[in-house]
Amino acid sequence: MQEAKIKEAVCQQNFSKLETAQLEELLRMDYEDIAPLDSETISAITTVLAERHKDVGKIKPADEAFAIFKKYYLPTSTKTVEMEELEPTLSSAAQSAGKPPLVQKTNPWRFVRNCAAIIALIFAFTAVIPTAFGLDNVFTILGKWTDSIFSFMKENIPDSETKNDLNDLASVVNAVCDTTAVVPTWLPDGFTLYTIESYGDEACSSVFATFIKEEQRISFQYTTLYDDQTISYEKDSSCVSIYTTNSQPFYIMNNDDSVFCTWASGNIECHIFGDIAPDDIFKIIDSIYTN
Amino acid sequence: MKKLTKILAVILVLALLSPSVAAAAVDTVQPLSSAYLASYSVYLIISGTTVRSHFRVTGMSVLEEIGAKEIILQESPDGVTWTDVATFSYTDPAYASLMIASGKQVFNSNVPYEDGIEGYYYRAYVTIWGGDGTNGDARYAYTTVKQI
Repeated sequence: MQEAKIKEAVCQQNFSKLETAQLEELLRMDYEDIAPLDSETISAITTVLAERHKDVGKIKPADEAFAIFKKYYLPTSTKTVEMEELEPTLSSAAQSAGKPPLVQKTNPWRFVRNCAAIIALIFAFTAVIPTAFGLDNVFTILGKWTDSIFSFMKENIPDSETKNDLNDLASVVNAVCDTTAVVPTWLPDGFTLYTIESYGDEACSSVFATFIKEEQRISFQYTTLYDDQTISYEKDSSCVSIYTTNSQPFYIMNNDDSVFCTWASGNIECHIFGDIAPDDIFKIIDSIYTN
Repeated sequence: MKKLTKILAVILVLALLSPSVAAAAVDTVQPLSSAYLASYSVYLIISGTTVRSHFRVTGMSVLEEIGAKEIILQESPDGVTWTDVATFSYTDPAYASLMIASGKQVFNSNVPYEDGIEGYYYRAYVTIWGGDGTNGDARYAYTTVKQI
């Protein structure tokens, strides 16, 4: 009996005689491809439903409306409708009905959270995970290519001779200052150890070393102080820049148009100076804590 | 009202002039950068009644002359009034090799004074030097005070 009534309504395109539940059932069957309807029929059904909803004339409270939505519509959808998408609609509907807008439950920290998560993922995939697997930090690897070949170059890794010489410096500093945590592991390519000497008395002990490359030279001085003496570093009138890494401040300044760096690690005063490009001073500093 | 306007005008003129005065003053101060010197330190080490005036000079590169040109040792019974008790000069053959080195980038050395008095305070005024034989830079520094 009911089915006949429904068929008749469909044939006549007169859905006002059907109950709301029957109309909704027709839409559901269409959605699930059990009994597909043409677009005109769907339009006619939704028009009738809209009219009936208008008859109700009242917008339900947000919680009640959402409960209805979850009960009747959400199960049949693919659950792609998010609460945040629904709420503005409810809010504007409430406004049009002369009611105060609904309080939106969007989380203001969501954007910040998402950004932080994306940054963390990028950091993990480029820095942490490669290092954990014994690979080099992705940021240290750059590509170089010609018309015919491509290869990766590791810009922050010094050539083997420079690296060996830095190891020699670290050994002497370790013997005199009892630490290697002040010696860099990177210098610009081509610099080799030219001279290294140590000195000690009751007041201090120090290591001085110079690396050279043709006419260029970079010098290191590490001085462990046992009393209240002060070391004065020559500088010009330009500002002192403070570069902090691993909670260690490094003081970068200029003397005679060349950049130099000094810092104190406990009672060890460290001084790197010479023919250093401004960008290279940061690479040298950054390499100190990669031991 | 007129008086207030005058005061404000004076303040405005002073405000406009002060940066110029400051800038002019800065122009007369020479930057302390050095083409010869990178760093230096001076200090005393006392052993018994012997007072050693130490200095350590680091050059920007290997220098023809590096070290201390003069060291004036001072003593004081109370740490307030000071008297020169010894002057060491690089021109004195007895101290020349202790005070100036050649062909080095870093030079550590000291000169001894063996007549210290127990209970007295000592300090040294050191003329640091780095040069290429013709030109160079001098710096002047006091050591910290030590008591025998």
